Amino acid sequence: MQPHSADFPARAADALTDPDLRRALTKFKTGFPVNRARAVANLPEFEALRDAAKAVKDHTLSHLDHYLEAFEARVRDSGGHVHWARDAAEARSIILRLATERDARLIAKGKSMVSEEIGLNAALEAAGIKAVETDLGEYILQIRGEVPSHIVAPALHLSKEQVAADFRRTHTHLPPDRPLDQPTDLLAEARGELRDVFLNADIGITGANFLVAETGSTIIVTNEGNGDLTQTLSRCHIVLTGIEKVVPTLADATLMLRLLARSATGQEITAYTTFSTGPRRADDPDGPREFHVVLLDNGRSALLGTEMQEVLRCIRCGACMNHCPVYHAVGGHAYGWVYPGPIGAALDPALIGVKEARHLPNASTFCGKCESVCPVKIPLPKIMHRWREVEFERRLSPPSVRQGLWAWALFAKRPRLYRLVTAIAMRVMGWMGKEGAFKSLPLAGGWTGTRDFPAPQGRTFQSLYKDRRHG
Amino acid sequence: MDSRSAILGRILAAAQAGGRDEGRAAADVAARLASPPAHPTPGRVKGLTALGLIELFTKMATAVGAGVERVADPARVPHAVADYLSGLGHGLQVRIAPDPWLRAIPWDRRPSLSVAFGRAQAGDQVGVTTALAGVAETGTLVIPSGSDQATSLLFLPRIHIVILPLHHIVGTYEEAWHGLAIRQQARGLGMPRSVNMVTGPSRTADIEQTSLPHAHGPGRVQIILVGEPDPATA
Ligand code: SF4
Repeated sequence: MQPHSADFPARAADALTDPDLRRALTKFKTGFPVNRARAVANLPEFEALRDAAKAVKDHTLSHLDHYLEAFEARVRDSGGHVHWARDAAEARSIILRLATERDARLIAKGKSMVSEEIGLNAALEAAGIKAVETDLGEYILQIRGEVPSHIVAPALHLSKEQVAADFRRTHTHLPPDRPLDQPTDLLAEARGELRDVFLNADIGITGANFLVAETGSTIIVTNEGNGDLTQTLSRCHIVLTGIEKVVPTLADATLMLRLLARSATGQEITAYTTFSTGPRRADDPDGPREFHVVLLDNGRSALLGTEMQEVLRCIRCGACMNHCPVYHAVGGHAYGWVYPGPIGAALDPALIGVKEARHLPNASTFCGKCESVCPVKIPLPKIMHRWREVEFERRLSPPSVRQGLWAWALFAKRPRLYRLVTAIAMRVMGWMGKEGAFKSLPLAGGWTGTRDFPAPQGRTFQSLYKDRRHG
Repeated sequence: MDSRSAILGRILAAAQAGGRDEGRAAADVAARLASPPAHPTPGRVKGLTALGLIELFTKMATAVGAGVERVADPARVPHAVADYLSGLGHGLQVRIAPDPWLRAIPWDRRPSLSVAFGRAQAGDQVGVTTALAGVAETGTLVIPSGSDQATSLLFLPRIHIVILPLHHIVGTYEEAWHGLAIRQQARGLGMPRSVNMVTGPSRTADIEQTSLPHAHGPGRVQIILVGEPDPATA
């Protein structure tokens, strides 16, 4: 997918005035977080699981070459094939080759963010191969020619009226006066349309949430069952995923699964979790005849050994964006690429370049909520901060930003001057915002358009802290 | 250089730069794969009797929208299946997994049932399978593929009926993995092509973040528990 992250400021400004998006985000910012909190409360071991998961991922990343080789060997033992792709172009050409060699006309696709990352659909289409997204949200987006706005709930920005209009426009073989008012009508129609795709696809492509080195298994996690129909019914199953998804054993994968759904949607576990290991065995009644795994690097290995390595622990649960005040305000499309929210701000600079993604690490209030809910404890604010430094070092910021940072550094290094200036600013703001919160602020219209900015209550943090220390 | 070497080489270089002890790395990995450390498991299943596990399994499966009922012995299964389908006003044609235990059920006790065995066909409305394990911690069914189990039965029909012997109910996923290892070893096989964990019927929340049942997989999952709890372990 072509990144548009450099346009973040303009896209964010548009998002703030889009009424449909505002309605969706209002619902969104309570839904998932409330469900997650309930699921976490129901599992007292949750914190211990987070620590264990972090340790598993750290160990795996420091031995990633060994585990990938073990995974590859097990896939081969079970009759499958592993392909290695350095970058997006190589991953596309591997899949195109597999598809053309098999004379594929129709490809069913399970939800895969890596597929978005490499822009697979456009490449298949250009080669005359029809690829159909089968996750309901992804299917709707494909019809609309849009990209996902969330890694777990890709179409959360749309209303049912928008979807109904898209279905009427696209499914022209159905009676034009059919009722499509209810979400259940829309779901039933999509189910019917996609059934033919599952039954007739030559190839099924899915992503993977995890890879298991011990067994050579790939794991997908879904609620709809579309990924399973995709990979069970076609002749050839291709798994496309990133090299960082491997974990050592089934026990480790089980640990991760206990965290994933609870963190993502607040479910104890999703409806379907499927472990796939090689193609159909000789006496199996069904399943694909071929099993291929495409392992994508695309900038990931370059993070190993750097301060940003920890971002590779990510299990793509979406909890960080579900809890992010910036995401709540601007939605996912503003980020301009596949991975939005805090994880996008921490990962995208590595995948699409610091220059393109330079605004994203700034799209943060550094409130720390993302890190506090991340199931694998990625220090997202720290990583974003580091990218800001990298960007500054590379002098990619416009001069006004550099001067602003320089001025801040000047103050920060002179605590008394800083205290004086912030105390004055505080008093001015406290006086202007008498009712406790500002309805609008100069230079911060985007912020106060969607929320009230809390007015500073009297004194600065530093002066309170000083009293506390002496008191 | 080919891509595999390039990627693995880059990973190795980063590990070496970070001071990884190359004399030990391979042995560490082999040792961890051979005897993986145990991770925390949910306390909710600890100390439960067989009866307690059955109750928890039932509660968790019901909470995600599955139906759970119990019959005393396999001879009652055909009636339970037929009554369930009639109760929905549904037809009585079912496609059953080619599992020896399922085949041995006296399906002809209920002549109105029309049964066929094998993988799911496009028009099939009802799939019947058993499960290796019912996991109490989340009400999850663990169903491995094999000569006796067709994966398509879990996803293609609108209704999935699971005939589960009571003694297949375990506490945690780990216990299910253990059961799988024993079964595969007894069959002289490694990891099966597919292991499916099924927890309730399919659903989606992709339209306006509202959870709806019956997406692409079955809209109903009915679990028929078979047997009496073992008094020795209850
Ligand atoms: S960074 Fe953490 S919270 Fe965000 S998607 Fe990844 S694992 Fe989930």
